[in-house]
Amino acid sequence: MSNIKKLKCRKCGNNLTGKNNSKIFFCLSCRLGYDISGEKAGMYNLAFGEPVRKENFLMEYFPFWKLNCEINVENRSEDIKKRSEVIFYIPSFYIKNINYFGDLGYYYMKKNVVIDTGEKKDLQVFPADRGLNDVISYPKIYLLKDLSKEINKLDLDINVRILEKSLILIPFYFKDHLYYDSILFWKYPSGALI
Amino acid sequence: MKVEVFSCSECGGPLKVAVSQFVVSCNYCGVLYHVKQKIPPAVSIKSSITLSDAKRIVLKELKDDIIAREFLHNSFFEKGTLFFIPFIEVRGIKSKETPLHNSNIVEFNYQAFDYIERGSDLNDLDIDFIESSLVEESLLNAEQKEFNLVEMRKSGVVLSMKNYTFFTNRERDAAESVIEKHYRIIYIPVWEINYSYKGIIFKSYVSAINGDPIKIQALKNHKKKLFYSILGLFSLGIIFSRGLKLLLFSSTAANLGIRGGGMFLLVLAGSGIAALFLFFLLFPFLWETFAFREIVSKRRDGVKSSSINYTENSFTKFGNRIVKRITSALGMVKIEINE
Repeated sequence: MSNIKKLKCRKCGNNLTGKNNSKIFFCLSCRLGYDISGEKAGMYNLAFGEPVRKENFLMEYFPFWKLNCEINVENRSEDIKKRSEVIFYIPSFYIKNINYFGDLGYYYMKKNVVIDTGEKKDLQVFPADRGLNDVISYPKIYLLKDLSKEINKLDLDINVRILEKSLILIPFYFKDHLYYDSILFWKYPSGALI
Repeated sequence: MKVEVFSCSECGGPLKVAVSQFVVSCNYCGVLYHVKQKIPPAVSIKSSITLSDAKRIVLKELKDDIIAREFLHNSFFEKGTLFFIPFIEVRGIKSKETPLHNSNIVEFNYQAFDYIERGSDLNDLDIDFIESSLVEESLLNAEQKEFNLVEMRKSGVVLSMKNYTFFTNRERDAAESVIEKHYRIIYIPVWEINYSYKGIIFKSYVSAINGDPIKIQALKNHKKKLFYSILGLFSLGIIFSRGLKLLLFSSTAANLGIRGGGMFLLVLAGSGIAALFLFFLLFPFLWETFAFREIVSKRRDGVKSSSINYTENSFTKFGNRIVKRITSALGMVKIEINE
């Protein structure tokens, strides 16, 4: 039997924004995101990214998970420990052929995404079909991608602890069947992000 | 398509939920609901090609040497139907570890995988040759559209899902290294453009995403065949007349004593009967080879021809009509022709 849930904001009672394949629904007025992929719907703060490059094209906001993590790296052979805090941006939508088109989240990690606090109205939001459970392992995966050679050489032990989970909407531009992200200005054919 | 009905918890109004529809709003009070189902959620692809665009694309494709000119000039546009064809897609990310040369070091990376498979058999549409590669190619510049069954049904025909086998084999192959995996149903819009020519319907298909012709069906240009057939008949005529001349006027025939006698007539009648027998025996093959009314289908994988089967359609209908008219005229049956 199907399971039916009301899509209403717990704070203001308005209908949430999302599409048929969305796992995350947004209340844009309260700046909240609800991840309904788990047993219990998780409520997360929602922010907007400030575009690095401003263009006069059609704008659509793409959702990303923003995970503030504590990284503990231990060199077992030399007994050295290092601790740092890193912010990970993981797309909450699927990128096709990620090796060819590039994982924006991985590159945003190395970029400082500025938060836009201005008022937003009539936004187009791309459906978020990757819930927290789908992306929870990515901070470690991103680190492994960066450090896999060192781990093999230096016998490193990496521990990732998530300190804060939130969502961020990054503006993308759309022109001639191409999406341009406003931070790195990389282009994606529309079919790579559907 | 199966539809489940719930009632709105705010106003009690009915909520009709189709298979793979996850978001539904109450038509009366506007409250939005999320419905969890066992079947994956559906997305629809935006149709950016209109009916007139699709007709234009088909007409452009019809201007080809392999298609009869008379078809282009004398065929009539019957109708255009937008079909939404369901495809099942599994996509995800799997890890990949590559050993580096001359060392024990393994480099970690991850890569995307996606498979697409037909969710409907497509036999009714006569485009059962559509393969995943063709769909993937057309999806490159596609745009996602809100899955709204009511709107889709208003603009076209939504094919129902028949295949629910979610890539079990391939999935198992990749299972070991899978980081994440998502299933969904994608509805691909395809235009079916029907042209009629002398009572026969020709169906062409155009992708409504990017306007790529999928299959163009028309009457085959038989000019070359006609030329070779006339040449063949002419050569056969020469051979036959030469043979007959040899048989009737040569000294061999005189020596055999068949000229002017009853034997000659017997041989002539015998060969006539043998030729007739051979003709009827070979008729299906001859029809296949020499038919001048052939349907040609231009597809990505090549050009396919098939002869129009008159014995099953036109000839049978014509015969039935004659028989019914005669029998009704004789007062045997009441005339009733339904075609």
